[in-house]
Amino acid sequence: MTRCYDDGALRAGLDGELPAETLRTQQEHLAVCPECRTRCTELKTLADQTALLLHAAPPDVPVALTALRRHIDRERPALVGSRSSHPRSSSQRSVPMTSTRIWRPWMGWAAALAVVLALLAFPPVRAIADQLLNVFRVQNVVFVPVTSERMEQLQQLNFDEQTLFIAPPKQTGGSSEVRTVASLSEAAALVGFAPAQPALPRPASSAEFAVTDRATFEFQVNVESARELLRLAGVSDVTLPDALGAAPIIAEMSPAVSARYAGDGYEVMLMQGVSPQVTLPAGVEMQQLGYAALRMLGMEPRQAAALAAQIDWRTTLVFPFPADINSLRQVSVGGSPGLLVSGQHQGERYQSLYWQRSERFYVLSGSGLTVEAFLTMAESVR
Amino acid sequence: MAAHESDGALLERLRGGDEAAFEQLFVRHYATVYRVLYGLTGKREAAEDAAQETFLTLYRRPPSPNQPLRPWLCRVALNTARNTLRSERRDAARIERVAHTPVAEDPSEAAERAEERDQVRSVLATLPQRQAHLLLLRHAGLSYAEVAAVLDLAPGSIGTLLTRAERAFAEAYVRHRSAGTEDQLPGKQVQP
Repeated sequence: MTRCYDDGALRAGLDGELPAETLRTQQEHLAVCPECRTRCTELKTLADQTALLLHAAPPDVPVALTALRRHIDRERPALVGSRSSHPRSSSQRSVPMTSTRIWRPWMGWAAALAVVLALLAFPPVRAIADQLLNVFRVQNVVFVPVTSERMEQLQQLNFDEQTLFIAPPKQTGGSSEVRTVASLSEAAALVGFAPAQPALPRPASSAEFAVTDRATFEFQVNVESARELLRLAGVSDVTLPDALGAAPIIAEMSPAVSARYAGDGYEVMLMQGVSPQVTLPAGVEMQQLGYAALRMLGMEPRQAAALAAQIDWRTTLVFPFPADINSLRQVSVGGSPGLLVSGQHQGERYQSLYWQRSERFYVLSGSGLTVEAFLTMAESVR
Repeated sequence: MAAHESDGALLERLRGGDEAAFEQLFVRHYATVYRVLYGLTGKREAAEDAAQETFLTLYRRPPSPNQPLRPWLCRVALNTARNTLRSERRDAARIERVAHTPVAEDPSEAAERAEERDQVRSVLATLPQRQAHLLLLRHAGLSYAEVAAVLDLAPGSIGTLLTRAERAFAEAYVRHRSAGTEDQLPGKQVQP
């Protein structure tokens, strides 16, 4: 006699879920093994009882289809918008912003978001971990308010962010090293553009300059893991395409310059550079990933669809901010729109300002200055 | 006889904006999605709402034609229901409810059925979520491979896990019924 079967195999046999040959062997065994036969009967009874309890009266499919049709017809403009890449107008405000300085205090609650953004909103940039300098090499930033309730939910996700990638992001070209240089003119020679210099409120006692070279990064997403993250976050209306994990995402970073000045009671840092080139695996649309990111941040589907269609995802960074933050304002820097964030971190007052001019972005962060002095300095960056 | 068009082919057409393809997919899969949701919510109206949201998602953002559709729909459905239950925000205007034709029914029989439905739902809620979902998906007609795809399990483990889940469900149901009977006794005494 062949060996006895466990409950799982017997149940699979009952459900017709075994290959024909295996099933035949099992049936031969059952014919000669009273013990397995008894268990098989018990399993069948158990399955039937469960089926009876879980039975649902069949739905009226045509009626349900009619109702859905009506709903779709009524919402057609929004739905069509969400299914095409055609830009749509939206009441959602798109404003530029941000800096490394404000990012750091937010890292605690934003860890989950950062992971999401790494993957979904601006994959290559965020994925290169702490190289925050690179994060801001984008032409536009969309500021998405996130409620504290949503932040809480995202914080409580039990998710290992390491699993998001099949292998750690790797550099395939150029140099990601931050090189210290002696002066801005030396930096200019290396990066190929003339970095602007701010007018300082008081003479600096120290000035440091650094250059991040051109570099190419590659990483490959583990799509199943990314889907799990979305599931954990309760985002059910997004399907990440298999293609997302089929080939590496490639990010080509342009050079950027950072300068840090410290003087009597103040410290400022100015970063400037141009946007990266991002290449996604064939069949992956940035807009789709952007939609996922917006949904992850708690935006309602319709609003997220409209905004996702509106944004040029290849040049835009989505940046989450607490919905109840009250220290944000839009300012003008030399005629360009900018976003000013001011606050306190560990008792220290700071400002951060993000703006852009042409293809160049600027992030100025500082502490120890009044807002007026800080804005004046920003104005001087030409 | 017209050839049966695969889900993948219909998805391909849907992605190209073919509404007839959507209707075919709806007719093909609505009952399964509804059954899962009905098991989860215990309420016809809630199941219909969540099923509509699920198919609206399919309409708006259809998955890749290579992706098995039924597991995808069920996954969306489970998440939709979970969100709805969690947030307890039911925006009546969001989705148009299905218009019901009243069904003639013996009131005492209907009450009994409603009570049983509530009990089943309460018992399912006591099980680990994955176990409850496993039961609902399998008893809505998904194959082992499909159940495995929805729940990220190995297809080879489904038989064992299903048996375990059904035992847990049966035991919890018996416990629940006996506890319910005891609880109800004092209540029955005050009835006129």
